[in-house]
This record gives sequence, C-alpha cells and structure tokens, in this order.
Amino acid sequence: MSPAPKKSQPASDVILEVKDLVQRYNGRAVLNGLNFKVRQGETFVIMGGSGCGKTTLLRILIGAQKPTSGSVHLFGEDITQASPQELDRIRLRFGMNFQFGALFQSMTVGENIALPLLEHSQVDPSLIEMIVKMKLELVGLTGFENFKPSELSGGMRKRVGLARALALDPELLFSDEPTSGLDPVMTAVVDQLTLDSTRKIGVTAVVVSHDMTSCFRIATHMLMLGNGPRQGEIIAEGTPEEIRANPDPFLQQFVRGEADGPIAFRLSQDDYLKHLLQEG
Amino acid sequence: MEIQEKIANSITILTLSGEIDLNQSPKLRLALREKAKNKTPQLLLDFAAVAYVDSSGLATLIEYYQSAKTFSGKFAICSLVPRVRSSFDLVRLSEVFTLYPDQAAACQAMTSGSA
Repeated sequence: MSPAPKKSQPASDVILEVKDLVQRYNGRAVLNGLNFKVRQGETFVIMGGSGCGKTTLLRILIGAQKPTSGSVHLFGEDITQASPQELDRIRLRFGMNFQFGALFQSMTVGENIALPLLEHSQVDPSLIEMIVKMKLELVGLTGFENFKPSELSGGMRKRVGLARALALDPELLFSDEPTSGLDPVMTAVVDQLTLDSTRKIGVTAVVVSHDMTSCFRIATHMLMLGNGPRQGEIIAEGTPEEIRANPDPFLQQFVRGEADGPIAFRLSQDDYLKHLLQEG
Repeated sequence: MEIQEKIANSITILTLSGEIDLNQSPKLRLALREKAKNKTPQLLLDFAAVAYVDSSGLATLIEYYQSAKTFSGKFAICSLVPRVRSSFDLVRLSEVFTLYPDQAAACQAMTSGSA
C-alpha cells in the first residue's frame, strides 16, 4: 500500500533536507558533513551504533540544538536560522516521540496527551477529552486516561508518548528508539502503530533506531551512520532492499549484528600500545 | 472547508468539501450545533469531497452523535474517500457511526428506516 499524503500535496515532496551538516564537540566531529532528504510519506529510518551521533542528529533535526555548521530545512524553512517564535510555529507541524516517553510524572496519561492541544490549539476542552480517548484507542490503551505514568509498564509509557506525539495530528513524526527495551510482541505492536500512521493516514516518519528487525519492518528508506574510524559519515543510504544488498562490511556487520568485523570492539595492538604509553 | 445544505426526502444533507483540520473544524462544529439545537430529525453528512479530517474534526462528529442521541435524531455519514475512511477506522469510529458508500444508499436506508 503506497503512503497517502496527509494533506494537499505541497509544491515539493521534500519535507526535510539536511545539507553539509557538521557537529563538533571539543573539535571532534560527531556528524561530519551529512546530506540527505526525507520525502513526504516516507518512513525514513536512521540507524547506527552507540555513539554514532544519532541522538545528536535528532536533536538538531527538531531544532533543540544548533549545529556547528550546515543547514536543516524543515517544511522549506531553515530551522538552524529560525527564531524561537519561528521554531514554535514549525514545531506545530511535527510530533516528537521521545525514547522513554518523556511523560510528566505528576500528570495523568490523559493530561499528558492533552497537553499539546491545550498549549497549541483553541480546541474546546470537551473535544480535547474525546481526542485523548481516540489517541488512547489508537495506541491500544483505551481506559488508561486516569492512570499515572508510574503505574504503567515501559511499553505502555512508550505508547502514551506516541499518543502524545500524535495529539496534534502532525505531518511529520520523529521517533527516538521507539522499540528499545520492548519485548518482541510489543516491538511489533509499536512498529504496527508507526506503519498505520504512515501508510493509512499519510504521516511522514523519521525514526532513529538500532533495532534491525524493527528497522526493516517499517522503513521505506534507510540511512546508516558510521562510528569509530568512520564517525559522523553516512555509510549507506537507500531502500531496505538496497541496504540488504550493500556489500559495505561495516554496514553488513551492523545489519547482521556480528561481533567480528570492521566495527572494532577493541583497539588494534598498535593503537592499544600507543594508548598505554601515551603521556597525560 | 465549505458546507452546502439541501433537504431531500425529509433528510437534511450537508455536503462538505475541503479539509477538516484544527482551523476548519470550528466551522463544522457551528453547523452541527445548529442542527442539534433544531433537533434535526435526519442528518446526513456527505464526505465525498473531504480530502482530510483530523482528530478535532472526528471529535466534532462524536459530539453531534452524542447530541443527536438525546433527541433520537438519525445521523449518518456517506462517501468517505479511502484516506478519510482510514482515519475513522484507526480509532474505530467506523464501528460507531452509520456509514454508507454513497448518498443514494444513505438516503434509501434512512428513508426506509433501517438507518
């Protein structure tokens, strides 16, 4: 089933464009000249090992962090140059599903989901109550509106986080490790929710993950970030079929989850010796 | 979003067109509140030209559905395009509302009393 555009087709189908993006910490490049585009209706999965800069990239994509250099055009506007007021306006068009839900513990589940609607819309409170119930039904948590986040399992909290991210019916959904820490069944449930959002109602999704099963299940386009000697580079980009067929040993080691390969667990003998004898 | 009204076989038909989103759903709400206030006995919403409906639009429909129950008003929706139908399906509103494939089928069912 091909993804349906959510609203009227814009002039360009590119929703997100990253150009020459660099992020350095203390002179070390964590992201090193990234270029890529996300098109409407795609489920664009960004993969990579721990420390490859996935979270940094996501923070830059949502405007939570300014990069060292480069640009990020979201809905045609460069968010690296946007004022706080402009960013607030752009943020109404996307939802962010945080890794651990990022729910307010003092609020109920219903209040958490209602929050974006109360803060950013003029919708009548009686209608917001119905919207909250619909979002909970969407994520399979009907009847949980009066629970506190602390009374829910990790998987349930993740689904509440997704419901909150979808509260304003965004055109674009960012998800940070939506299935990490979940059992296989709950992983499949969360993946299906992402698929429903993208394929049935035309939401574009950018998902950061290192769960290969989940990545290949939901992705229409994939991008692999390198680490170690290839820190901050795009190792590979393409459809799931192209990624599977890509012979890059770094990529294949990651996709297959193998211990031996170019992604080194330990330093080489020479590098270890240098490290041991290094002064300071 | 545009709303056009006509009456056929004692059924009030509102033909909607455009997108029903956060900006447009108040207009639909206003129209439906008037129908509820007048206790419209039979109301049909034709969605053939509605390209998109968001959660605020769906909530507006639920609100009218609740109101219509209080005065035993008949309420049906017809001609959902696949994308809009998906929005109804995902939150199981297809199980709540009476849906028809087109206006003719809706009018026939409502007139015969099966709606």
